[in-house]
Amino acid sequence: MKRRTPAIALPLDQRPTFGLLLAVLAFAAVPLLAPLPPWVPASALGLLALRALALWRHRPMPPGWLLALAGLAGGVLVFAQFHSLNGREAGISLLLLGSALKAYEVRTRRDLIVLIYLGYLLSLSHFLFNQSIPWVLYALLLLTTLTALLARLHAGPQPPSWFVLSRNGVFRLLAAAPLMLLLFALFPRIEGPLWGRPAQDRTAVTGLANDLAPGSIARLVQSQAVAFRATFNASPPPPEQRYWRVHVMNHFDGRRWSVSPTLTGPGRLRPEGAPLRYSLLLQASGQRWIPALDMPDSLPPQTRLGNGHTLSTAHPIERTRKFDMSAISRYVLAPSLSPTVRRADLQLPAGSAPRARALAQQWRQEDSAPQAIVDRALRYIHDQPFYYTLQPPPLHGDVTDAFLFGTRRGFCEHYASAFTVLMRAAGIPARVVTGYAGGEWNPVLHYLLVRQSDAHAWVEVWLAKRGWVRIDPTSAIAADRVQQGVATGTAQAFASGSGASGALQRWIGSLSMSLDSVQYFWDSWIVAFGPQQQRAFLHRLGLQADWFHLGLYMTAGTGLLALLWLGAGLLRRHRPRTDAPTRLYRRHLRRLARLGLRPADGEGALDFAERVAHRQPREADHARRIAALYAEARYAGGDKPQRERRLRLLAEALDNHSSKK
Amino acid sequence: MNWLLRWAGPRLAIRGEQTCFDRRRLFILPTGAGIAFAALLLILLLVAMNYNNSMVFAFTFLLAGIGANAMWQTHRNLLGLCVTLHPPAEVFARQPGSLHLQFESGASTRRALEIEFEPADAQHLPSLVTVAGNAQATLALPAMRRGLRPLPVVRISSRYPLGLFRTWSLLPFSTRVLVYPQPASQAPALPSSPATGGVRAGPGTNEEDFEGLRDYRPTDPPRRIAWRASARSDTLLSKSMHAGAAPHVWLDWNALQGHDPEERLSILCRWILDAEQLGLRYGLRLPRRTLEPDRGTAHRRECLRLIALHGDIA
Repeated sequence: MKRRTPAIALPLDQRPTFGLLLAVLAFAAVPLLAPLPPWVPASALGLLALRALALWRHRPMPPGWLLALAGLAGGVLVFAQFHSLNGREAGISLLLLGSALKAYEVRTRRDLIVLIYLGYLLSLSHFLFNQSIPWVLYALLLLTTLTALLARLHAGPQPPSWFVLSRNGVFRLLAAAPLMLLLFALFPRIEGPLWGRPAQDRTAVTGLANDLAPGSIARLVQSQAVAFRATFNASPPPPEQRYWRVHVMNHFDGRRWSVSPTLTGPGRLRPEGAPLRYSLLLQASGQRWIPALDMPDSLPPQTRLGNGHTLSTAHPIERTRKFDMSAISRYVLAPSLSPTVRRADLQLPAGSAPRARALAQQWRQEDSAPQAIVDRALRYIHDQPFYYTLQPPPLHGDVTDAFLFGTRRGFCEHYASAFTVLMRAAGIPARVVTGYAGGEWNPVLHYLLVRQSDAHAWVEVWLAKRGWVRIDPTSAIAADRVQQGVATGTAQAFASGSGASGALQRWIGSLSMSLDSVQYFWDSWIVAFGPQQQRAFLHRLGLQADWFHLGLYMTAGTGLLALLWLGAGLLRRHRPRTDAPTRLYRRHLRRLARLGLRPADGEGALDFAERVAHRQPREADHARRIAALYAEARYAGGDKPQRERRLRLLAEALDNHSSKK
Repeated sequence: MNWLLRWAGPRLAIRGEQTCFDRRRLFILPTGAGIAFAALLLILLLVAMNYNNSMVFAFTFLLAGIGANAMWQTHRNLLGLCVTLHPPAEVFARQPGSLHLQFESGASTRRALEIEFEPADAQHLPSLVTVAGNAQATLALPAMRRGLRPLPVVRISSRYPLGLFRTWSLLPFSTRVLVYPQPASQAPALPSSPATGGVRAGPGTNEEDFEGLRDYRPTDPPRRIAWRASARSDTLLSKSMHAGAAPHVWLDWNALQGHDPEERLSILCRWILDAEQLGLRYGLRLPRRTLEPDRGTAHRRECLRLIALHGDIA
């Protein structure tokens, strides 16, 4: 192919820099594959790869109008995808595509600098989606490389090697760390956004939905993602009380449970014990609900109680946040039910589950006391061959009847749904509660870790005088299941009980627990560091947290750091660096010092050698030789090879002598 | 004159031909790229505040720390650097000349020093040097007019390591250079020698002119070197010519009627150079000064000095 124009007018020695920069940009785009629609990072990666190929093969660049057209097309596509150009996803997509296109327009060093700055933005953009430790390390690596590239661009002739450049990049990070820590702790944090809130699209992390159908929780149980962590001011609640309610559903359409359209309200709570205070560190979910330990008592700011005494915030939770909560384990919820609410909690779709209704009617005729019916139903699940499995067979026909009298294999949502239908059919108000049950206790840092795999569904029945009472029908199958959480329960149910794999499992379990300790520490102290945490932190240090004082501390701290820097610089200047010949010569002096010979102040090497020759004739030749070589290596000028040759001669003379001995 | 020199002139003055950069001599300001970097940090800070994102906060401050440290590093890249001026041996008007600067970096390596004249010349990109230990930089002198001229101010600046800041110093050397007239490119032939009636084409190598051997001087033409004799001794020897017997020419201002004064000086300059190169003995006659015929570097320099300062131009 005929080469029309030079591929790039960049100076030849900046081509490797450019190549490396393209690689860094590609690495910065990789983490965005997950949170963005894949076509955006994929096309950016494609563009970067093509650019690298063109750089390598010296191919000409496309004309300017084509690039402008590509940029326009990218903007239109991004707008078509997000219906906006300034949200979080849309903004990052534009940045990514723009950077990839800018790589086609690099002519001078200034263009490379622009591209490096874009690289800085790109490598940090992923933090808007994920701030976990591995990605922080990844971003640090990208940042160091970008800074090394920037230094390489400005290093002039005889640039330092890439090794030295990257080492300096690491030093730069370390030197900047004090200022970073200072500003991180003291820069005033504000609540809430400066402009629009992040769009809700595509941010939904796997979590509980506000409806329940067969299979909806089984899907979650596969996920080991952390849902939240909780630390307790006192001792944690016993395992059988670790129920975290999220949604309460009382409307059934024959297959699917959903939150009732009629507002039934939270219901009045009458505490019968002391509240348990705890703080909840909730991972970003993109949802509004907050899992609350049964039963939530006082409300954290900006939250409210909804249907069925569930807790939610005013805005979606887009980052890891901390809530101070309290729970009451002994309570009476809704001592009386209004007729409307009662009707809503007895609702069943007409004609559904005829066999279940018949069974419930039969139980009611045998003993009409509600508590007896509840016990009867639990016993039924326990006695009949009901199985607990993650892969239940599909249910045909009426879901409830098919499960209760057909397959008899299911997961918690099957049991909760069928049990609620039975209760309602027997005339007992009942509802389905979804949330999390159990959790892993971290014995080192004393917190409870709850994963998505701990998602669970259970039932509440309303009994006169006792209010809403929690019933977990799944626990009727396997007694230890509720106490250990769903995931461990399934693991126990399916893992073969051989000793070796058990030990391995325990080991992996403890390892993942210590990893989670680190992650917990990170999330609760660093990622969730907001206005409240900042105030708490400063008060603990005995400092004021208002903006005036923050400004004062920042100024003082920065000034102090500057003074430290200045002091370090002055110290370094006062200690002249010894040159290579002197370092070698000192070896010689150390050896002579062992013979009791030391140069006097101001005594030159050659004079000293004569004195040595006089005092220790055995050393005469060697001392004279070393002194002469040293004087030559140190003081004779010459170009670099000459100086190196002399240095080598000196080193060889020293080595020969010591090896002879 | 540069505003900075007007403002900071006294403390920038240099005595002699060597100076070292202390803090009073150095200036530092952010570059365009540095301002863009600050804008980048501001964007990141706004994003961090909007999303209350701890890691974006942390990395913004980390980048700010890197940028602030780069200011020290840039400043330190020039601090303590010593510069010695080697004034040009001879400069001809409107001809490329060059200036040599000897750098001594001390213990650290000074990278990417940009050296140029102030005010900057659009035609000449600054020369870039990296100094580890000792290094020399050559700077092309701008075209100068004839006479005793001050050297243009030298500006040494550096953006290393990250290009966010630019530190610089100005070197207003007090050394003045003598700028000789521009040698004429088309000059009339050298005047003929009254002794022999014509210009001798070659240097006087005739047997009868040979006087003896003397030590080689750098200005001796290679043909004059006594190679055989040099091989026997340790040093280079040149054949010395009999002074009295050599022809001489007069380079006469008045012989150049019909040219304007600067042209005359140009032609005289060309003649001096040619005559010296040909090994002739030559004398110079100016309206008010006359130099007796002679040859050699000293004589040549004296002749050039006279025509450079002709007309008492300062």
